[in-house]
Amino acid sequence: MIIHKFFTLIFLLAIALSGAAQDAAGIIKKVKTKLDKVTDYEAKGTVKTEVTFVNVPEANVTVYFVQPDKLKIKQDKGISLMPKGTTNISMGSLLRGEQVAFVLAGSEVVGGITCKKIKMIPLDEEGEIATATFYVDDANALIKKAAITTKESGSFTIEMSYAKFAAFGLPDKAVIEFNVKKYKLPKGVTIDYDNGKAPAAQAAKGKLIINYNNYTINQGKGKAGFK
Amino acid sequence: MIWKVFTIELYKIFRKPRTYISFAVVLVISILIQIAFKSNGKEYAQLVTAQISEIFDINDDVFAAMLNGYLICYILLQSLLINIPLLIALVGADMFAGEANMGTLRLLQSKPVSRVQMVLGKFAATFFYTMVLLIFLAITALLVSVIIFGTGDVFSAKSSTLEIVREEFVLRRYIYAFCFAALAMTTVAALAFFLSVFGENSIGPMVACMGIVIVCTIIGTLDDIPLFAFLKQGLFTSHMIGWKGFFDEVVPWTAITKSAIILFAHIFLFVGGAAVVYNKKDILS
Repeated sequence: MIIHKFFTLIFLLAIALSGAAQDAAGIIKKVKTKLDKVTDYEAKGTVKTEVTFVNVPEANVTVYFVQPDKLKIKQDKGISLMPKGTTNISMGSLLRGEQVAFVLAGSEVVGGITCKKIKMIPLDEEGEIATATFYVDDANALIKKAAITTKESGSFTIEMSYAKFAAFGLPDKAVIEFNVKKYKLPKGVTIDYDNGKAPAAQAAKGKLIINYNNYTINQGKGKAGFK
Repeated sequence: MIWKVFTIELYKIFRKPRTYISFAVVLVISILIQIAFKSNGKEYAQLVTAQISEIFDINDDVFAAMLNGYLICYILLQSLLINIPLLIALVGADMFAGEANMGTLRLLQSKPVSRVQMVLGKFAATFFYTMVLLIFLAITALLVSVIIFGTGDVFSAKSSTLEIVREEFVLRRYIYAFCFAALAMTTVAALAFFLSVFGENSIGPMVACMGIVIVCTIIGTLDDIPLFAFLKQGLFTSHMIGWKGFFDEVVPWTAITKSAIILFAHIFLFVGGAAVVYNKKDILS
């Protein structure tokens, strides 16, 4: 009797998990279909780095993308400080992976919208991504947020808001939050001028805010960034 | 009469071969640093960015953007503006003490020039020399570096922050920084000039001036000790590096204005003090 109950439970659990996986795959498929409309793009925008110990003005950037997985953020001029490993990962390339499984893990409100929480589990041990969680606006097939853990570059989250280019799954704004280590150099080396400001407590997280002003989609301009 | 004293003093300053030691030092250091950066600039950039390379994507594009003439000039100023006071003291300390040593002070004062006019004329000549040296520094450090390395953003590493100033603002910031450096160097010139009034030969005032600058700089650097942190507020050497404030992303105008006022006060105090002491001095040689 006990054995019978146990197998019934396992069977029900398997059905539930399989249903969740199918739901997740369906949602991801809808998102992929939308992202696949874009074969390449060039986007003009601005980047603001918010790290407590880095004082850098906003910079103009051009973002280049070519299917399936080429993404590059290029600052128009000057010194650019982009968080390691965060700016060359496109959502499309993550979802398109063959050796991954998606599991529905409930729902959560992101930016006022109830999103499906989908966990991505890589089946291939060689890949750079250790794990990822996507928060998908199911009704509009848009990824609102992604929490990604990489093997080499640590963890980071990307939160995206959409407007003019939502039909292509392209955000108008992306906020990348990443981990920051403490920065300190000896005063005897730097010989600081006392500018009257007490040094701010260094936060453990930093932000990179990308505002996209315009996209040129599917006109071959994205390839210019990889020549 | 001040003008007359000024022109005579200028003639005397620029006739002495040792005056040109300062120019040679500035030239040699500038050339050495420029050659070093031309050959090993990337290694320096790697060293400066080592701490942040785990957080940010520091690649060859970043190094190439960092290594420009504006940054080389910043590094040159950082190295030279600590040592140039010593070169300025060579001339400032010689103004009265050199005359006393050669026995020409009494002869000089037999001319129809008041003692205060003499002080002001001599100080004007010291100031002129300081300005010429700074202009020479601007040419060798800024102009030559820009010709060799081109222009770009300035990346400066402070003890607890990293500052990036965009290229379009840098030239204006350099103009402000050199004006401030002129004020800072004039303060040292005024100190050496003041000490010169007491000396019977120029070695004493020169060494005393260098000693004061070195001691004050050390106190300012060890400001983790509360007593030194308190003393630092009033030391002119702590305010002399105010030119660096122009390379913060947002210029700390309040702090820079305060530093400028303190330096002006020191100049006034040293030159005024020199005038008072010289006016009462018993000239024996």
